[in-house]
Amino acid sequence: MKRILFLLALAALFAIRAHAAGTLTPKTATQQPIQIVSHEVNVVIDNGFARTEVVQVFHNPNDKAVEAVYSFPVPKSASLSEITIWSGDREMNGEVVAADDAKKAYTEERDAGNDAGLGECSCNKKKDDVEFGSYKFSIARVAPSADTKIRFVYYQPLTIDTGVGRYVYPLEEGGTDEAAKSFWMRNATVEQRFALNVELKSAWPVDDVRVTGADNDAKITKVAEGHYKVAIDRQHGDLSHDFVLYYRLAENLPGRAEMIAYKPSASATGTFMLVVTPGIDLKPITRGADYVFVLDVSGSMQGKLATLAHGVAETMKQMETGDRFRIVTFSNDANDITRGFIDANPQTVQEWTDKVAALQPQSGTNIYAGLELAIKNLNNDRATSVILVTDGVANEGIIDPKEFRKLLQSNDVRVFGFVMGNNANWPLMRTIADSSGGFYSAVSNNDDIIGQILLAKSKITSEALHGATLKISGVNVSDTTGTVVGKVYRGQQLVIFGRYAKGGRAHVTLDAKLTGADKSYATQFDFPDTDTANPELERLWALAMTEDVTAREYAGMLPETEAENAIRDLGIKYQLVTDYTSMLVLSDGDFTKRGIERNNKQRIDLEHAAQVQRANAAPQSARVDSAQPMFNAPAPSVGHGGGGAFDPFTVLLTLMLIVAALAGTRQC
Amino acid sequence: MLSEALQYSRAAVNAGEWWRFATASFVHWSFNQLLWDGIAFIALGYAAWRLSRTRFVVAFAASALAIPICIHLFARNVTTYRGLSGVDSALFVLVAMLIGKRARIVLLLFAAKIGFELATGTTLFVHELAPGVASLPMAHVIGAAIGLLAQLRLQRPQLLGQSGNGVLESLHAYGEWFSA
Repeated sequence: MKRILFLLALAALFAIRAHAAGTLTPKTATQQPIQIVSHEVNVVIDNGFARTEVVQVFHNPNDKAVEAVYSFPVPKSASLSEITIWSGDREMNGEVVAADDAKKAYTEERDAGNDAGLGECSCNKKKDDVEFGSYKFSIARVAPSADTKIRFVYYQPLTIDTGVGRYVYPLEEGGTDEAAKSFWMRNATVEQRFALNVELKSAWPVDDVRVTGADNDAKITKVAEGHYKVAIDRQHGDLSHDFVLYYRLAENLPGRAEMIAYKPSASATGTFMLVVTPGIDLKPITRGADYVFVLDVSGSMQGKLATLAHGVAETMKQMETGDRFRIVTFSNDANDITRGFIDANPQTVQEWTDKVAALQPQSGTNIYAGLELAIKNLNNDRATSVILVTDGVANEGIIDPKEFRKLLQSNDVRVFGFVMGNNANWPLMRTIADSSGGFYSAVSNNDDIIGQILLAKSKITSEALHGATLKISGVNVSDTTGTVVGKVYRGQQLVIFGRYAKGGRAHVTLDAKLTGADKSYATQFDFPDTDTANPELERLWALAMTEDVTAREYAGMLPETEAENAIRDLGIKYQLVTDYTSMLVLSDGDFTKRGIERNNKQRIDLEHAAQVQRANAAPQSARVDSAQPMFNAPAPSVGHGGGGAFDPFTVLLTLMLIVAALAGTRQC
Repeated sequence: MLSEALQYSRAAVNAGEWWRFATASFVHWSFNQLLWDGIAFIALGYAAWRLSRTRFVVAFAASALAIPICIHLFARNVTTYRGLSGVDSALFVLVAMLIGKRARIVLLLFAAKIGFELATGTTLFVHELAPGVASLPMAHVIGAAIGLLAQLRLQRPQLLGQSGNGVLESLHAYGEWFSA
């Protein structure tokens, strides 16, 4: 018996370790796996976006040169922008070219025994040799018994949700790509140093910073108001757990509009990122509501079901008297396990919490079947929210996003998606959320689950703006993303990217409906004619455009070939690794030999110069509506406010007590 | 707003605004919260004042101060706090103890409610006082404990028929009171 338990424990351990960032070795290979000697991550969060730099040293323990392959999950909305490889004294840098061209050039160099590298992505499209939702880095030749260093950098916009910022360095693989799992053997062990350093710069005061899952390990230092440093430094480590950092802004900050722009000269096209944090009094919805939990119990949820059960239990505990719930599970097909709606009370919540905790993973992922069953037999007189919890990769039944859109648009229901793991099909989740006017958010096994639920709950149970659109006039803007907002939930920030030809005074208006009444929030401010502080904005804008193109493709509004061409063009022009573009890493001489232009090198030079300038500066406010505030109310904050509350039951007890006291007085 | 200036705020206290420990219990998130807390406070305060002025003052002052301080020290995820119900809890237990056996059932019901809140981490009937503001069971537990201590600690030994010293004897009496 002990032996069986030991083997089960070992199997569980292996299952967890198998789903991690790490070096990959074909399972059929006879060589020893490439070792990760050290792994260092440096993050700067400033001006609404994060720059993440990863420096990693590999060691080849074999007595012959081998190819090193490293894989890690694609962070949400990340633009991989730099790869540098050091092999001995030789430094090689990356240039983004069309994916097929990059692969061909890399294979030729590798087969010729030359040094070369390749960074590929299976971001939204399945590929045969790259795990879905992952970056794959290949180094053609790691010399026997020698070390090779690789460094890569990516940028991603970060939003503040209800006053809380969240940064995730994803390491835990989703385990959703069965073909990749069966082909590769993964080594996630860091033999020597694992270090993670975050510098957080906020122009707004920060009340608290925390690292979930590593509260005791992370050294958090407050440098100045709004300026923090977080450091984790370990000897040995593994790459199987996400790093999740939360920072909470001070309460009662104003609703606001903030903008940063990049325009290298008066004649050049400018790029802007406008972040609107609405300060609107969205009141709580107090009437009873129906909630349908649609839970993914597919095989790839192995290792995540405990987190799922925990999350569902906490959500159900938040229900009010008058609320009802129903639970649908899905794998290959869907099952209504509650057989209809159940009134929420402490007994039913406990009973079904226990049942959810006992769910077992099974085969495929048929999200469509789960949603289809969830929206059957709803009561039209009650507001219904569908809470979809999945790892986000549909591989059974209907998987065409257009069919999801059709299904959800034909029913008056909002779907709120909680995506577990790092290999989700983000465009599909976006299609599901957008089609129903809901939202989706990622949940890591290392997340503050209760915090995430409270954030979601405050959105679901508060009024929302409807039909929101953001208009910019006065300045000729183009290629904007995020201006057709739809619903705006409590605490939600709006992020708008765009281009503009000439600086000047802009009028910005957010129009929407609130409980049937028209609302308009307006301000005006200047777009600069030149601003060179944030050249990275061009890449962030280009990535937002690729996401927009993908969303339109998924909604059936853009043919696949057009979407592919548009993404490839953006990827090459703005040097982003996408499904259709890869980063080829060669020596300067080899780039010249192959006639590949050094566009990325020029961008990197500009970006590095700007980063040096910013590194020495205090956090800069990007608020642009101070003179004419766009909102009158403060921005909502998570508040973790507490209060003492006597309810009618306790007041009744009080009255009984007083009656007892008075009776005693009379007796005396 | 006055409420914001007087509420417990972790950031403000860290910045030296210590007076908020003393004022937090007297401001509220909503009219509804103020209504129920206020009714309970007037009724319990009047009864406690009539039964024992000293104990009323001690329970009232100690709970109003101790609850925000305990939240500051032990509930580090709570950033703001408002409300009188912790003080109400202290007065409830104090009045029940002062009345004696006649309040036993009511006190047991109250203890059961507090026990439920303690076990589940959530209040029984009130979940959210305002968007993002949850009811804190901890405040009721601390209040109830202070009410109990105010009665036991100030219990005159001769009332117990013993010459003993302090809390242990009082707790012994408390056990007898409960099992009577």
